[in-house]
Amino acid sequence: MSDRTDGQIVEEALDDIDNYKYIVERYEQRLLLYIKRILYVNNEDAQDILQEVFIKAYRNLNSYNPKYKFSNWIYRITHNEAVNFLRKNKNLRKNIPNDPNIDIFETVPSHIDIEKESIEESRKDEILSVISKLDKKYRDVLILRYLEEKDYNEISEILHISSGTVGSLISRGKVKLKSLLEKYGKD
Amino acid sequence: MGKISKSVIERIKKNDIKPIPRWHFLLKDSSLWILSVVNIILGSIGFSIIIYLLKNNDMVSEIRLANNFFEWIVFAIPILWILLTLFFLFIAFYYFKNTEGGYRFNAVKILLFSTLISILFGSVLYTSGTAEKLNDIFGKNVPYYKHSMDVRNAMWSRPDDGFLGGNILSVNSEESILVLKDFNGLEWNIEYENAILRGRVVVRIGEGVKMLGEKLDEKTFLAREIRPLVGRGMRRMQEK
Repeated sequence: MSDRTDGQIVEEALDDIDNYKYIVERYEQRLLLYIKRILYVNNEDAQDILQEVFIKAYRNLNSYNPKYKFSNWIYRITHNEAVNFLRKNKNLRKNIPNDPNIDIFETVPSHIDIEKESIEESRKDEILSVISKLDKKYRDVLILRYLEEKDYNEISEILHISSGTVGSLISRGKVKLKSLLEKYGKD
Repeated sequence: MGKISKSVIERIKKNDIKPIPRWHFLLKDSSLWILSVVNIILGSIGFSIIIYLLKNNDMVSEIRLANNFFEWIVFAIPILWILLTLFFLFIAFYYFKNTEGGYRFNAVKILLFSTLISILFGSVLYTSGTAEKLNDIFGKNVPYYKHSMDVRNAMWSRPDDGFLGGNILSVNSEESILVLKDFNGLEWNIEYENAILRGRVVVRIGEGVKMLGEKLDEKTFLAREIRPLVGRGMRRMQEK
């Protein structure tokens, strides 16, 4: 199954539900990580959300247009499900600290280069912690761009906003992030 | 099979979850497109009527006629149509944004594009005379138009100030005298020999007209300028 395209597996899953497991297996790790990154939830909650994502994706499988990348389609469902989860669990937002004077900055160097095209794996958690201090609109694009390593068009498809908007959000988000790091990061 | 995939497949089977049929999504997307196009058409109609109403109003002289600024705004500027046109264009934009690829387009560009289409199509509707016909229909059936008519009537029911409007009951073209029934039901003898006929006004029985001139006595008015009422719809309403 590893050599099959997503589109082919989708067609096979529509014929036989058992083939859907190949989609799940192909995406579960990536999406689990993505959920944790955007929601800051524990593994158990992330797995529950992920299950809902795959159920919803299966129900809407016929809406997938093979013209576009399947990964963007399922990322979009994941993003929507995460937003729903946040709506239902408003208290969760309180778990994302907004006070910039929190401990995380004591470990994050002020010179982290977010503008590097790919961020070292070891740096991703630090970046994520700092990104968590930004507004959601900036968090969403920066996580997709620098942690999920999606390009502008992919982010546009996932968040359903124009590429231009993606560009300006990333640009403004980077400025805000940089200023947070310079102000509070470790010298 | 991994833990999550096993659990997902089991839940799907247990709850007998089926993929929503493809036609459902096609229908949804088609409906969004249709609603988007319909609203652009409505916006175009709105725009055509705005052109028609503005072209048929002498806004400068209406300032003199109006009792106050608000009355002039209501009378001279087709606010309702401007608001409706903006509303239709916004709804068209909303539906378009929700189509499958709608999010890819910049909001300002979509709004500008749909406005441009409305202006172009609206101009075609105006030029073809459709705007006037539609205005007739609305005038006959829509309450706002009746209200607008009341304001207009009040403005053209001031013979002492030189403003008189109503419907022509009879015409004596040899003597250039016509009989007019004003908006209050009073009959006037109108002398119009030297009157300037503006717009598409025709001096004939049944025509709704508004006149600038001078009151000569309680039953006689000297017309210096005769204009049509806006749209035939207004005339028909007057005939009622």
